[in-house]
Amino acid sequence: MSSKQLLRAYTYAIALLLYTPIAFMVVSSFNSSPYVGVWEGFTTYWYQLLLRDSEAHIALVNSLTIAIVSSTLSVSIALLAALQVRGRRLTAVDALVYPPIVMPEVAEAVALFLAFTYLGVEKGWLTVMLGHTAFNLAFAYVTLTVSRVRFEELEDAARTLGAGRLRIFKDIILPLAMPGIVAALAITFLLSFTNFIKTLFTTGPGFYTLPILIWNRARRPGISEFASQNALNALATLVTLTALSIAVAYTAYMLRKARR
Amino acid sequence: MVERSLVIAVAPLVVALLLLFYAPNIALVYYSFYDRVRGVFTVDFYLDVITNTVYLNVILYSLTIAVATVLATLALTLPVAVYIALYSRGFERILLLVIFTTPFWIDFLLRAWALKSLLYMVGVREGFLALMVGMVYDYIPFMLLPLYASLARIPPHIVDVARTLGAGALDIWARIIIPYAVPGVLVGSTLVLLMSFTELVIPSLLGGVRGFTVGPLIYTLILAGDDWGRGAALAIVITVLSVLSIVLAYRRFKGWLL
Repeated sequence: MSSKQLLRAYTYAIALLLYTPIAFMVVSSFNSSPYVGVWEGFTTYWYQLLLRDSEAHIALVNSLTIAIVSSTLSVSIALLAALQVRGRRLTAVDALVYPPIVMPEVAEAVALFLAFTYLGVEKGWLTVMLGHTAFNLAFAYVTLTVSRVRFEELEDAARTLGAGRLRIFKDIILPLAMPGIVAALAITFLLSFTNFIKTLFTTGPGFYTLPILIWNRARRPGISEFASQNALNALATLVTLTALSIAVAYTAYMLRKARR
Repeated sequence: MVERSLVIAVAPLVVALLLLFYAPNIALVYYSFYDRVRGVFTVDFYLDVITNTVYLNVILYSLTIAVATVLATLALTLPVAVYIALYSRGFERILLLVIFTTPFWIDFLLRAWALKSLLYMVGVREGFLALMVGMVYDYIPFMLLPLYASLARIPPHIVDVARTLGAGALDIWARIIIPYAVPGVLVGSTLVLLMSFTELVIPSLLGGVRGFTVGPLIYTLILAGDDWGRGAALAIVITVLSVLSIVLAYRRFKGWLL
C-alpha cells in the first residue's frame, strides 16, 4: 500500500471514530431497555416520553428564547459597528473585543457570577441571557469584520445613478452584508443554545436550559424515568440534530453564496 | 482623526462590552482581594492558591492532562491534516473538511455524554482512562483545523516535484511538511492547551475521582463551597497563566505566523 493510501485509510478511520459515539447515542435512543448496552428491541418510547417531559419543555423554551434574543442583540450591536469600521483594523476596538474570546470560560463565568451576586440581581433568564451576550458580542464582531461587509464602489455607483441613502442601505448595503450577518447569527445562536459553563454560573435556583438539564440528569442517571440513560440519549439526540441541521443549513447557504 | 459617525457606531459595542465583560472582571478582582468573613482586603487568597500544596497539585495535575491532550491530539491529527491538505482533491476535500468541522457545532457536553455511554458499554468506567479519551476525543477538531490551515499553504504539486527530483519520504516530511506545519502546530497546541487546562465538563462527567482538575475545583469553591476569595484568586491565576502562554508563544514565533 502506498503512503497515500495508508494516509487515506487512517483519515477515514479517525473520521469514523469521531462519529461513533454520536451514532451510538442515536441508536441507543431507540433501545427499549432504559440501560445502554442491553438491546431489548426497537422503540420510540423515549421520544414519546419527551412529549410528557415538562422539565424538558421548559428547558427548551428557555434555551430557545435566550439564544434568539442574545444572538439578535449581539449581532445588531456588532453589525452597527462593523458597517462603519469597514474592514479596517481598529486597534482600540480589537483590544476590547479579543479578551472575551481568549479568557478561560470558567474564569469569565466566575466573574459574571460575582458581579450579578454583588449587584443583588435575581439570577435567571436575564442574567443568563446577558452572560451569553457578553461573549456573543465578541464573536459576532470578529465574524462580521473578517468577512467583507461593505462594497463602497457599488454604493458610489448607486449614488451616482441617483439612489437615496435609504435605497442604498436597503438594496446595496444590507443584501451584500447578508452572508456575514447569517454567519454571525448562526454562530452566536449556537454558542448560546449549547452554552453550558457560563449558564451554570449565571443561573439561579429553579432556572435551567437544555444543557443544564442534561448535565443534571447525566450526573445522576436513573434518578427517575426521565433521567434514565436512554431517555437522556433521546433528548441529547434531538439537541444534537437541531445543532447539526443549523450547521448543514449554514454550510449550504455559504456554499451557494460562494458559487455566485 | 476618527470620524464622528464611526465613534457613534462603535459606541454601543464598546459600552456593552464594558458593562458585560469588563465590569464583571472588576468584581472578580475585587473578590479575589476581599475577605468577606473578616471584612478586610488581603492577598492571602493568592498566597494560598500559589503555596498551598492542595491547589498546586490540582494545577499541576491539570497541566499534565492538558499537555498529554496536546501531544495525543497532535500525533493523531497530523497525518489526517497531511492527507487532506496534500492528497485530497475537489469533492473529497470538501467532504473531509465538512466531516471534521461538524463536531464544532455539537456541544462539548453532548459529545462527552455520548462518549460516556459508549465507554460505559465497552466497560470503561469513570476514571483517568475515560477522562483522557474524552479530552482527546473532544479536542481533535481544534488541533486538526489549524494544522490543516498551515499545511494547505504548501504549493500544489511541490511534493510531486520533490519526488521527481529524488526526494525520499523522509526528505518530504523533514523539508516540506514539518516546516510548513510549525505555525499550525503552535496555534493548535496553544488552543488545545488553554481549553483543556481549564476544562470543566469532561473531568466532571468522565473523570470520576480522578477528575478533580482546576475547572471542577473552581466550581466547587465558588458554587458549592461559597469560598469566593480563593475561587476568584484561582480564576485570575489560571487566566494570567493562559494569557502569558499565548503572549510567549506568539512573541517567540511571530515571524513564522505572519
